Amino acid sequence: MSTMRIRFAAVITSIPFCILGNPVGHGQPTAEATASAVLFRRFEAVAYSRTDLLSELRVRPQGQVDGTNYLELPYAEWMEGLGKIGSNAERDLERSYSSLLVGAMEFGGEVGLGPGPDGLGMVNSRKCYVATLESGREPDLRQDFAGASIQTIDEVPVWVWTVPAEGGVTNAVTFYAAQVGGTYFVLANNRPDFQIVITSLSPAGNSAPAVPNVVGWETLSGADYWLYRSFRRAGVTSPDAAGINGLTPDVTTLIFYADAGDKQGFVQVLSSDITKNSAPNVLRKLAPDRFQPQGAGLWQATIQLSRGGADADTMLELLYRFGFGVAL
Amino acid sequence: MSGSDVSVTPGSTQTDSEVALNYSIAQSASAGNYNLTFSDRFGASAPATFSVGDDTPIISGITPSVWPAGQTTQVTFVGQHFGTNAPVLGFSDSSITYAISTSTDGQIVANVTVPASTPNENVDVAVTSTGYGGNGFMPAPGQSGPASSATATVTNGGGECFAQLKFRPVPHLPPPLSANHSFWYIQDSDGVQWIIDGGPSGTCPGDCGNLIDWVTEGTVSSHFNAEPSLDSSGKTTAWSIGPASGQLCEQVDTLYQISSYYWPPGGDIPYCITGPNSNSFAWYVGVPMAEFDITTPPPNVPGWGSLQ
Repeated sequence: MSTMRIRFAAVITSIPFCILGNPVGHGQPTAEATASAVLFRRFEAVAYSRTDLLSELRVRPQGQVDGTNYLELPYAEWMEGLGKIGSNAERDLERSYSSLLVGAMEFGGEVGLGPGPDGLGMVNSRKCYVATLESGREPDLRQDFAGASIQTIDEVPVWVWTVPAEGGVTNAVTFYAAQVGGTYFVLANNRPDFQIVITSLSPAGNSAPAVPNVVGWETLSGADYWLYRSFRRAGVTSPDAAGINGLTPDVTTLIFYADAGDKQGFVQVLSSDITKNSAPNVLRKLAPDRFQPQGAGLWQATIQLSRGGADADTMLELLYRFGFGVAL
Repeated sequence: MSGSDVSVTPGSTQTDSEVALNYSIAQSASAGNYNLTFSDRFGASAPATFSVGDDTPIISGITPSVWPAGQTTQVTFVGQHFGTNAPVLGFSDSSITYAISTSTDGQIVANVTVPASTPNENVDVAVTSTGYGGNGFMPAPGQSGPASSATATVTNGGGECFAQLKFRPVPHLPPPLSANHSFWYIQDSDGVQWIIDGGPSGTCPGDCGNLIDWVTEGTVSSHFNAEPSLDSSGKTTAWSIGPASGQLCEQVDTLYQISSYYWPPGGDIPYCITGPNSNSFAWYVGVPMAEFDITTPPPNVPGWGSLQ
């Protein structure tokens, strides 16, 4: 393990950030950057989306979906959890908060909404969502969460509710949600993660770095949607659920980012083997020759995201690799 | 007289050259050779040898004599000469297993287990005596051997043959995505039931929405998402597990398997189509077909629906 860390650090320092794209960072640390830093510090995978992009994906008429709809998968538990507490909660949150992050880990473990005995449905994982305010006042959500009980955790009033097991298709899941620091809304499917994140984000206890210390943050911070996973291979109970089945050990990091207006997305693979002449095989439907070298151990491919142009199988597998797989 | 379980007493005739004796052989007498010696005041005769043997078992009753497939049934075998050593049961269908609870010379009580896949059939049941009192079986003169048989019947499910397509919703998909995952639920002509994974359908892109289609045979090539194309060259051998050809329904007379892509990735999984005499086919993906236990409820439990 220590060898892996050393090699990974060497790769990071050899890659200038600009190779990921034009730096378009926000300058001053933003709420998004702080929330990202908190989630990166704890979770294996972190996803980000502007909330208006999620809304756009959702309003498509039934039957007119395409591969880009799979970009919603990291937010499925957010939608379902909020849907159980009230019909307007999700809408009100996404109208008020400008971005939504999620950290995830322990894929296929015991926590979270997930598949039933038949294996159908999304891979369960520990998840913590953080919505951030871009500007304006913190919304009053008391009406939306009127059906939840209220607990106090670390002096923060917390809404708590449980989604019961239904028809044997999933475990019962208890959700914890709270507004933190006037800027954040935090929702988690387990108490330990929730408590750590709200503590890190609260003004009194904020110990997070100003910006995440990850490859290419400058680029990610300017994108409308991104996914980032730094693979942890220790303690994996199911390589299938974890999305690492068939992934070579040299693949340390997987990144995807996209802008809604560009209709294209970028898949980046970071390999600890900087001697490779071709990209590691990461996606079955995205051949290694689609990836172009971007620096030592870094490979990038472009995929189309235009309406109807996104290859569904590619998108499905892409999300699977980030830990947000679903068995259909 | 050698041995304590065989005894003789004088009979009606006693001359210099002939003697009639009444003999008695105890039930517990060991099979084998015994010596008979005459003695008088002049001395003892040379021994004459005779043998005591075991009778061949006789099965006079099996209760119950009809055994359901997929169940363990307590069965009582009544008869004679089963022996006092542990007898052995044998079945003409070697998939049937048993465990003896109690046994005596005239009765065996055993738990008989018939696999769910056993078709309707008559089964020959043999009881083999292993002898008495720790000694092995020795046939008495005129007896055929240590075993005899009778017939029992295995029944399985009633034999109605059908194929149904059933589905259950895929949980936790974010809207507007939605999907059902389909399964074939088949009962073959022997009453054996099977579930075959049928893959997803619904409002989701990619393979989803295309996997369960009923189309007229002959339009296979128009199925745009066929991987590989479901033409005659894509067909491989007939179904290697599950219902055999000839056991299937009129509507599902043959199953073919075709290796292809499925989700999530992990290897080749058979696509299956019905035909060639059916006027329709379905193709689908999923886990290898697993036998469905006839003793458990069918899949139309809450959460399931029937597509047809």
